[in-house]
Amino acid sequence: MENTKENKLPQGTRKLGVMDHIRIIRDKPMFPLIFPLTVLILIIAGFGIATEGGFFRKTVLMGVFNQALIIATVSTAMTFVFAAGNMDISVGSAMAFSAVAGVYAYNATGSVFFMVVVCLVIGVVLMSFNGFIHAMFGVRTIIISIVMMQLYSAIVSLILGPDTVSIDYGLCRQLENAGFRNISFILFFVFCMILFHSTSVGRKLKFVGGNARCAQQTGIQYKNTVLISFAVAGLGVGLSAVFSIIRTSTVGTTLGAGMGMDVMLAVVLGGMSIFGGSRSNAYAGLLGAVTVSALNKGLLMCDVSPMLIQGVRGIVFLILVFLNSERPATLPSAQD
Amino acid sequence: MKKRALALALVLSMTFGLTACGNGNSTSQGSNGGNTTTAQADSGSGETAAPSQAGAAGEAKTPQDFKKFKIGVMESQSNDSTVLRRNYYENYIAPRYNVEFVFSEQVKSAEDEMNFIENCVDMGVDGIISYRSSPDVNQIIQVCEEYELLYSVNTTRTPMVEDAFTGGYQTMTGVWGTEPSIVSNEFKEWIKSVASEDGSEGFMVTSALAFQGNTMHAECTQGVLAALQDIYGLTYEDTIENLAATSVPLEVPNDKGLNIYIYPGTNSTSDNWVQGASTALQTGKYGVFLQAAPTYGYTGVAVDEVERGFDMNIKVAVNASISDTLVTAFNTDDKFGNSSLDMATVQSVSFLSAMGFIQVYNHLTGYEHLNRMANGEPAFFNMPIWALSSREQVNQAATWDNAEKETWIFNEDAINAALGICNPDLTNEKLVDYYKSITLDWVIEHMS
Repeated sequence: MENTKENKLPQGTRKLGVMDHIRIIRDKPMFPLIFPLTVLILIIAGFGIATEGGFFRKTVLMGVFNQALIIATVSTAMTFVFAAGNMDISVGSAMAFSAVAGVYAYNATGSVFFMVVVCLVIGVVLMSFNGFIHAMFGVRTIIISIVMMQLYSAIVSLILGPDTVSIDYGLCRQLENAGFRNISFILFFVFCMILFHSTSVGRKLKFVGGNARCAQQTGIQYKNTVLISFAVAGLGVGLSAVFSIIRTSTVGTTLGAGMGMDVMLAVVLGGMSIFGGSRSNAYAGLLGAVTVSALNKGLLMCDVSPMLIQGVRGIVFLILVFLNSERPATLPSAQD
Repeated sequence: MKKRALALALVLSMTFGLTACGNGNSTSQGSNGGNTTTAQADSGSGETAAPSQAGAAGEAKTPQDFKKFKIGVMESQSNDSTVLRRNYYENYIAPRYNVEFVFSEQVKSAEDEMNFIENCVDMGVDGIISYRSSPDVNQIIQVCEEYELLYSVNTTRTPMVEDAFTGGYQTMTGVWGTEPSIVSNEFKEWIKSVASEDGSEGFMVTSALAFQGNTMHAECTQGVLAALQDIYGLTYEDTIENLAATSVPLEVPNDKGLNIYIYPGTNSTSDNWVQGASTALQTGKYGVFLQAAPTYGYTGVAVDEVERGFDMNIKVAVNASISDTLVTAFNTDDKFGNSSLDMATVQSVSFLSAMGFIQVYNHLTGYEHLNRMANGEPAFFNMPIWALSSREQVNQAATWDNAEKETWIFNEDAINAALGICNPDLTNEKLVDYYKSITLDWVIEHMS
């Protein structure tokens, strides 16, 4: 029977294997959105059943969102950098720097508006500086970010020492209860979605990420495009610094530690390759961050031990990364 | 001697006088094994759900008279002490005191701490025991106050966390831990006993999380610097507090030109920490190596290499807990046939962990006055620390907190002696004295 079936195939072709089928599904245009969204829904539904509905409570779901908000903000902004085939792991240190400056600004003036402005400006300046060095001198962004991460951390440690700086907890709760973080995030997310998916900025970034040389030959200005991506990333870093201040009302040297990796993880889990290119999108960060947050909360609520949580999370991440990370075979990318 | 006899008498009187807790109506209760099968006090009493209704003075109760409390445990590190603590809470305390524990992953920042607290609220947790010593306590207690969640933290009362004590927070059960100055003094005494007359051997200190505000690590490092100042009459170019809090490796400038090197961080704060520590040791400039945190498992190889390479006997002291790693280190010979570690200031995991549990449990069962000082502020319970400097001492100590054999320094009797439900007449002052009375001599006698 097998031989008969094989014989029916046209000459020069072969039977598709399981991996081929997976690749075909993975290459569908809507896969980057549908797959992570489905996984997220399944995770929430699974935990809902396991906790006998406890996970569906409004406070729990809001908690998942709240805990994902900071990573989601940075990740959404960083998709602009990743889309162009660049990487930056200094976002955590830059966020801590912005947050320290913001708290000092608030304590000096008593103005929330001034605090927000300082955070945003510092965030944009720091990240744009990273992008500027790359654009001007051609140094790889990952190398720049490693150096800058050390530099920004050292400055924060120098300013704070073993202490923390804080602002009035009551004020932070007022801002939180008034929905400041949620509304700001939604506005920022909509801004990023429009910029990425409805303007030439997103198209250029994806083109550059796919093949920078090819993009340049079509008239796209690589330096400008990269600088824009880092400026948007800086905006996200600054905003996440504000969110962080409001959430904990305190800033210490541990703020932002390991965030670079968390952001990359969130973006990949959200269905985007960190190597950028045509399948990049602006919503991957949000999807990924919420997935991580839901997993953390759900596993804890299911009484899974912390050691097992790490294992289970690792397995889920591996599966998602395997299915999300590979790009369709196209022209050579910047990395190639 | 009189003091020891008095301490022993106090502990014995509390322990034996209070064994009625749970035994008055219990069918069986082993002090070092087996689950408590305490019966209900009487059929009509029912469970006391609300803490405010519990703990009527003058009347002893059993854990079964209360609802099953849920307690969150927040860990900032991941090492053999945390594994042992988890075992103690889950397998020893939980079945005996009708409580359930929820454990965090490694909490590294205030954001992580907030996330865990929120998750605990969603899970119906009644109180949090935090092992994250940081200046964020002032903020975190406000979060717990908002959620009406009890908060007990393993730290000391320092100016950085003063607001948590004076803010009038009802849910702040207090803090507990080792008075850092005691650790500092132990390090001082040890340095005096091993240091040369001219200090030419050089001194390296790993200050661990002192730069992040960890009080214990900061005081340890400060103690070492102060000891060196005392012994050699040094003048530093900066204050000892500032030097100890350095976030970057630092050759401590001093007028005598002694080699004193502070190396901050731990293997969990930086991937390159071990390499950096090894590189510093391999300069051969440091003959005395002091560690403010139990990082000897990571630096042992480097010390051994330097001892062999430079033919120098490095003296090593560490601030740690009684654990398998510590025992192994003490029982491993160096090139000169000595122990790899020369001195360790140690805490008992069960003692430290029980203090946190007792604080929260007393509050939950209506004995919050045990956690309040005379002026109404949350109490600080001081835990003794012991200096061990021989294999015999360490090997003996290794048998005290043993999860496999289920022997714990702070066993059921010791816990009962500190609980309001077992001792309705207990006061905060008596409880403070009780903890103070548990000395190394007492433990040796008690555990043997």
